[in-house]
Amino acid sequence: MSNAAARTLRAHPLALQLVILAGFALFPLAGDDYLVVELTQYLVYGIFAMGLSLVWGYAGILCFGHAVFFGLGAYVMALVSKGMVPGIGGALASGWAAMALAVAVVALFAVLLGYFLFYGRLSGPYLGIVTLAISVIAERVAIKWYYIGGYNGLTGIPPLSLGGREIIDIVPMYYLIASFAVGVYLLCRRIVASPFGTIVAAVRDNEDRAEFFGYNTAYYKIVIFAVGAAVAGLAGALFAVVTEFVSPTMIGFGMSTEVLIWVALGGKEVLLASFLGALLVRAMESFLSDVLTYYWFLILGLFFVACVMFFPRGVFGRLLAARPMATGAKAGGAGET
Amino acid sequence: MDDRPDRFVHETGRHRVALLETQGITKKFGGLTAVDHVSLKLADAELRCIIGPNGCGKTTLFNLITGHYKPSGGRILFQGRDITGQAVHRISRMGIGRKFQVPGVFDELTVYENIRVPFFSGQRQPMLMFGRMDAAAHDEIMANLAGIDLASKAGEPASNLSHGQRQWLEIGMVLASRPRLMLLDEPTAGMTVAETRKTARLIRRISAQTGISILVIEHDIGFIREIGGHITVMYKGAIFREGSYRQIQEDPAVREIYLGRRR
Repeated sequence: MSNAAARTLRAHPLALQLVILAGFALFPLAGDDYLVVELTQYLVYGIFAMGLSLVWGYAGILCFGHAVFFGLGAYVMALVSKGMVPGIGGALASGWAAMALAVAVVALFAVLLGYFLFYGRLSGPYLGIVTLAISVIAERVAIKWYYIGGYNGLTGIPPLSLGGREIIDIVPMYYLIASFAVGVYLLCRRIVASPFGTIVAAVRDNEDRAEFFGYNTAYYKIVIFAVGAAVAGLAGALFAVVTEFVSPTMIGFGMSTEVLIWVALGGKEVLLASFLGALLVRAMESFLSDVLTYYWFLILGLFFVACVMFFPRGVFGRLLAARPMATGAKAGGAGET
Repeated sequence: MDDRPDRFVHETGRHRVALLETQGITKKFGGLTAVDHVSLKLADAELRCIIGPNGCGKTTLFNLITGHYKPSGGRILFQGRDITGQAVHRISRMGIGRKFQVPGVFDELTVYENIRVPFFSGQRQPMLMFGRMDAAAHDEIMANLAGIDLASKAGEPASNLSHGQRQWLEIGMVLASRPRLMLLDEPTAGMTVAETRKTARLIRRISAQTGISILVIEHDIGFIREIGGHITVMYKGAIFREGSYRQIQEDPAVREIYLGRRR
């Protein structure tokens, strides 16, 4: 894209968003089914990335265990819709009810976890270490607990149905997931643009100062943490539906690190940039692992280093920033060293 | 909030309502007594400066009032209510706003958003996640920015502002939180002479227009003269003298500990 075109789009964020939306809407018409299957999964990862963007990018909470929420959502979805949870059957075990339950369970878990983390005044590296430990524990539990499938995970998750018809074909599935992605994006954007979002940003920037203005900062962190977790939980539930499969790798440390990389590469301060970051890295992985087999990790690592050095706001962060960014100070700061 | 009888105190020859009162407030850090039995009464709508050499306990006194430190002894009354040892955000919500010595602006936020954060503090509206700004709120924020001469910078990140502008922005932020009492910790630190004079005028105007009680910690003598009003001198953690600018300036003991050493 030429510089002039980029500038024009940056000046018209709505136009840019519509171009991106149109791209996704038209994709199944152009791509073959294999690519549509791939992209459907990437969209789910993109939703997951937006959840972390809220928590890390907007609230400044560096969470090393965001996959715990993704995996928990997936497992709840799988267990409930397969009728494996004692006492929950019938209408409650339908796909949509299971999904709502998955999101609710994840949000509740995040509120509880957040209560201890943020009223315990954990921040920075300590918060990272605790969340990291939780993700490792979650993965071990998932591996060792045979009722929920142990190492092999759970398969045969029933499809969702809409208007009495089951969504099995890939193109309807793609549009369903894409609608979820759009819905989550609009919801999250609304939250960050609200007065609540401004307070969250203020807490990220200078927590003590926000507290002196009378804000119970722990409360704001818990709420945004729970929202970000619920979004990840929704993504997990959708992932279970799309792949009809859940496994311990989805809940663990490896997945938590991956989502951090997507969001960092895309641009953690901008929802849409985080979303596209997930798509970019997954697409790169798919392409490069075919060509380079396991050397692709090396390329990803180098790419990551390059991004940190040359695009501190992420590959898409600058382009998609909704408002004028701190160009003077930020660019000046980077140029001094 | 208004169910208590107002407290009348004798203050500089007039009867006024005591908004803030510290009763023998004391803070010890190990063996060091940073604030030593300070009893201070601040009337409604009063503008008062606290001066004193470095390390005399001025900022510690502010930290005690705002709940940042728990006092080792004594009581703090605000609007007649005992607020000693309450949580920081609770005290802030009661109407005590504070400007820090180091400008406490949100660098990553725009100038507009910096005012927006305190604007929604207090009981203005429930912090719903999907809440929106109404036009009246927007106008009020822009009026606030106009008052501190920063309306033209509304869309810029606060990190772009000059030192003086950041200090004014923070005064605007404290004002936006609608306090009953403003604590200003060295609002002119690092300012040029012209900026200092402008700041003094700004504070006087706020005091006259809003009736907010203002307590200012300052070093700059020019600023204190410009502000006028009652002055409290602190020395080694305790109140040393109280009086007008002239009384303080002419007091030989004050000159000895404080003014005399300043050239």
